[in-house]
Amino acid sequence: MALLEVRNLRAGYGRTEVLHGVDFIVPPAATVVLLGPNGAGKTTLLHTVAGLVPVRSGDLTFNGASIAGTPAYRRVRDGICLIPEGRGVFRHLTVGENLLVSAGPEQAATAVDQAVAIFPALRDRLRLEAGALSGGQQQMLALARAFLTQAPLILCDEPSIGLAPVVIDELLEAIGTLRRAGRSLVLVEQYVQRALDLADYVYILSKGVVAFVGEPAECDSGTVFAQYLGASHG
Amino acid sequence: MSSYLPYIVIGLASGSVYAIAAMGLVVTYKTSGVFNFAHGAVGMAATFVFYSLRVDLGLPTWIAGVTAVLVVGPGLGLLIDRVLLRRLVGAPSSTYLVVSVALLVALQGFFLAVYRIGIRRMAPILPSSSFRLLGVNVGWDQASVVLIAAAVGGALFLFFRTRLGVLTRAVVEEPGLAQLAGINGGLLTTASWMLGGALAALAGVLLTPELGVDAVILTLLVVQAFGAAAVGRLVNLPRTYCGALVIGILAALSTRFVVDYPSLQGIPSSLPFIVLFAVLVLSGRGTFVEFAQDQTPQRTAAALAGRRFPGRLLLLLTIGALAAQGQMSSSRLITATTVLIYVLVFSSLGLLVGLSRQVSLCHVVFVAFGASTIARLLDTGTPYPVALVVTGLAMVPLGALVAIPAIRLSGLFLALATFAFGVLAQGLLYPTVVAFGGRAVLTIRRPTVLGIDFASPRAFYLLTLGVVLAGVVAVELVRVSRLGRLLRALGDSPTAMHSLGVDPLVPRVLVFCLAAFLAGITGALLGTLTTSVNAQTFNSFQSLIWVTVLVAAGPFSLGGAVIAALLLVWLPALVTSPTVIQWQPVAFGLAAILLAQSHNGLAGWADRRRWPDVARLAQGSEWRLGSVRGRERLEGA
Repeated sequence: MALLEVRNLRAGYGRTEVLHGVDFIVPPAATVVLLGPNGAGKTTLLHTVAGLVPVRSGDLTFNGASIAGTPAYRRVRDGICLIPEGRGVFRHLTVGENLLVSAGPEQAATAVDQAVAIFPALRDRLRLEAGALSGGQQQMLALARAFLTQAPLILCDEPSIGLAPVVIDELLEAIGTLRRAGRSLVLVEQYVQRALDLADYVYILSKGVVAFVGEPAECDSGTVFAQYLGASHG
Repeated sequence: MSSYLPYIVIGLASGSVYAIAAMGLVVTYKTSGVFNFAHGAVGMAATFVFYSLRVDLGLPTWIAGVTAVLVVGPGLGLLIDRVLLRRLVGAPSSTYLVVSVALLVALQGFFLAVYRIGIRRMAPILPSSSFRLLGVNVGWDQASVVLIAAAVGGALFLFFRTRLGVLTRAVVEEPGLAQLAGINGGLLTTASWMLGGALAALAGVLLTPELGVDAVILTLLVVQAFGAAAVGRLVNLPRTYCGALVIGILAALSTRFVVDYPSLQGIPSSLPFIVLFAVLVLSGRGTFVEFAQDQTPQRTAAALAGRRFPGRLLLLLTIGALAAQGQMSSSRLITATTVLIYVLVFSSLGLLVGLSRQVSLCHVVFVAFGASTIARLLDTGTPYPVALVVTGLAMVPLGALVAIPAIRLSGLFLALATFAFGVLAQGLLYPTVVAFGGRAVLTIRRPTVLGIDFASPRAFYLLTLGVVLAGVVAVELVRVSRLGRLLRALGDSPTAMHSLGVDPLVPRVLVFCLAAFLAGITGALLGTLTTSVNAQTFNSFQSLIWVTVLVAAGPFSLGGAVIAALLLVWLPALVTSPTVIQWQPVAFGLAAILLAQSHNGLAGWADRRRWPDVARLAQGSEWRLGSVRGRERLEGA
């Protein structure tokens, strides 16, 4: 049985509909890479699954139970963890406080140790305001939540945006760790080739509908890329 | 030194009560991002319930106290959060400000109407026996208040160190992200409003034995907590607590010094506002953080009203005003003249509250100074037209002085600074020679200009009509000018304006000064109409009522200003019942709460019928229409 099952999903903002009937499946312990041009609806899909954007119509099933009506904070407890695009940290809280917020009440005591074990760069900065960290460190702090929550499904929206290549290596390595730990991942990523190296399945969204589903090997033909991403990517 | 000790004891006790109120204010602001102007009114309401339960029903003090502090206060907090504020999500922060000011006006009006003006006394609730400490008599009541405040402060301070405390800070900073971290933000925000309400109620109940129960005094006293909250930059609890104690002690000490100087008697009670104003003026940019509300762009399109010069409406109103005066008796004419003047009052206030979304709470002060200034100018023999213009010009530096420090900070702080300035001006400046001077009544003779005598009500009505028309045309020209467009755009996105190379400070200060200029002229006209003015005519609290009336009527257009003037002045003159006048503020407050988010208040209803396309634009549908058409064209090609 699939961990996450999205059927004929419609969602959007105000009067604008962005997703026009999307089918999307994430099996347990699988990494799904979500590709598509700007405005295709990738972020909207992640936000709808996380509960930040309401479902207009269609089904949203997680672990066999419908979650279409549950608020975002409950879905977190159910086990869906979204790391939003661009520095998902509380800028005016300290790094330590950010970790405290990210961890559930049971893990509050060990949160800092766990996070530091994964991202040693955070160790010396626990008392700094998160806003004072560099972009890469902020992204690490944001990603630390994925490790602390134990959520089986992690939605990761463009973790590499605006970062230096060397930092990206470290972040993708951490994401690889999550994958090896048996968590399901949905990854939106602009570095297509690197994302494909991690992927079990690939979805391509275009104009709010799924344009392609398949395995990474099938993408190499290039036709799909030429159509939706342009040949220069990768 | 020992002669000061008794004052310090008194100051510590009263400072502790301010501290409780101020910490309640800080807790709600810190966790909801909404500054509650009605904080004092919540405390006042709970205190009246306390009074009624204890004195009218004769219930034991502890039952009355528990009901007021643990039921009424939190209950009001719950209502404010769930009923009033949840509707506003996505509105600009000026809307939040207006709603909390309107709530203050409505609550105070309600309790004034029900319980009437006048101080009610009740027996002390804490033991008044005393003990000696360091050679000073300290009352047990004073000691208890200090201990209660210290306990509340300590508990809150520790709370914000716990995980739950960190969560509440996370919620206010990034509500969406907090949800993603699994926090039910709505629940935490509601809890903080209930806590804030309880603390306001506690402060009110503790103040009653000293001051008695009175709607006006109680509202203002808890409002004194604003000064302490400003010392804590609205977010820091320990600093707020210390600030409150210092303010209390300074106020108590100053009572000792002002005994010899009757003209300075306003100082002790004004001290919190002096501190508030000084902190705002002296703080550098960036020291105060105003929590940004998530703002959905479609709402700001409401400012589309008043985008065109209302030539037809002006012509219609002028003809109407000219035709109407023929049929009116001289007493009616005086009312009608007042309405005309108030049209300009509201028109100038609309430049701030509507066009540039700056909530200014001291408009009355400019009107008051306008009246006193022209009286003094005419005394020196200045010709009337010159005096009128000079009066207006005199308000410009005053306006700049008030506005520049606060506008630098942001909208909330402009509202706070103007509010403080209003209270200060009334307490400290009205009695001096700058304004009215002592208990004196200033008289103003109606003028003779170019040989025409404007002494008769009819003649003065026509003169007023001319001046008001000129003022209103100026306002409408600003609305359609580049300055107007800049201000509208600033309401939408200050960042975008910065990137276009426009310093947001300049247009905002310009329009504030223009509004002050026009308000000064209306004050001069009002003074000339009534021929005698004194300090009691211009209560600074009236500024708050004006804002609510204008928001209910429609702050974005001339039509709104006319409706506001009719509602405020014509209605009570038409229906001469004391009940109507008593309940007027309540109605205005409620109407402003209901209409704060609407498309231009009551005037918006009229507009929608006359200009359906403007109404549709305001709802944000025009943009979609265009994009659909464009897509059809593209696909057809």
